[in-house]
Amino acid sequence: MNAKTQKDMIRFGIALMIFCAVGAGSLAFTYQGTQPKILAQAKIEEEKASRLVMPDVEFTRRDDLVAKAAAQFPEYMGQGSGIFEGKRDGKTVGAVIQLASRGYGGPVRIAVAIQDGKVTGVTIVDHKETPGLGSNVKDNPAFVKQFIGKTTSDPLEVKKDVQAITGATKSSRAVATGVKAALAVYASVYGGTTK
Amino acid sequence: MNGLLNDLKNGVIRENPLLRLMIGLCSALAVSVKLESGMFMGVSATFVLVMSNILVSAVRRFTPDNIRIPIFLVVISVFTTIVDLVLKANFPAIYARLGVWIPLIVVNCIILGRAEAFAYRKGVLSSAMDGVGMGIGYTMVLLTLGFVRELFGTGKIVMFDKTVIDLGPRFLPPVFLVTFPGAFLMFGLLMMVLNIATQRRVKA
Repeated sequence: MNAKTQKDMIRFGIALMIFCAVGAGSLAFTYQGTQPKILAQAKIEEEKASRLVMPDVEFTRRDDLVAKAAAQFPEYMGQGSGIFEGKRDGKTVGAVIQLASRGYGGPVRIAVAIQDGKVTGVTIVDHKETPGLGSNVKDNPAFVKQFIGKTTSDPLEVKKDVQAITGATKSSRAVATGVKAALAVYASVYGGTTK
Repeated sequence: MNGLLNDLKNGVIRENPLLRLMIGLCSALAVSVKLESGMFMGVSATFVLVMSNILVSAVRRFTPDNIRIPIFLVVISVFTTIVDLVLKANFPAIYARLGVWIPLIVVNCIILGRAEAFAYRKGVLSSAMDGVGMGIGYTMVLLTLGFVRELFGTGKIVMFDKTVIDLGPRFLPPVFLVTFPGAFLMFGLLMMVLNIATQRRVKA
């Protein structure tokens, strides 16, 4: 290797290093400016389902409670489930439990809002049920409305106190057992009430 | 002054990156399913193009010839990441739809091509004008394709969650237009229209 190429290599290395250092610096600057907003957006996305069933509250994610509930209800509180505590004016008003229940085509993910041991709202977050039949658990708003007011003392069984969607007993049952599980999770982590 | 204006006009029609130079087609066909996606992609790519052109031109005297390509890539990827972060923070829904195409601006031929073919040899002002012109040319094609494909492929135009144009329930949209073959067909037709239009001007 002659002296010229050796000198060139050092020169190129330094030039590239300067470019990369300036580039990295400006990226660090942009990252710091945008990161809080990106995190806030991720939080909104995550709470979107909760907000549908419990509007006008400030949510706090309770991962500690999720871990506890997952140990007790491994079938329902798997990956992607969550417990969101809703606060209004500094007071906890209730919680939204997001869990998955086994449906006909795959897991049915639901979000259940519970206040003082009573269901106040249910929404289907995601499902793989048959379009036109099982999908009606989400598309027919009357179906989830019937769960409002249910407590742990209700049987929550299809044909007893739950009106199933025609031709979609399994999908309907998935939602019913999901709501029942949510009530059980709530009772277990809060002992019946959030107050 | 005239020279600068020429640099600007060059990319719009005469050397339109998509219709004439035929580079950077892949992402252009992919994002032009919707007018809104086309618009954001056009603006993002234009920003990266103008900024990288300016920077490459400004530091061209300190850029060793042998390692100019890695240096261009560093410059381009810095601006692309800036766009990526800003879009993610401010327009999460659109960011989710554009998906991988935003980070892939780094390897878009138009931007590296203009850095190598133009900005590395010309002054800062000329390079900025070239970037703006190429950006306008690129965005115009994306908007046209996006408009035609969304309107006739889905029957309506939706911008920022609002329906702007609705062809009504009696129009049965040919879904073909929002697929990849539809993109190729529309792109070919657009090239034909441009060629016919410019040929006439030459004859006259």
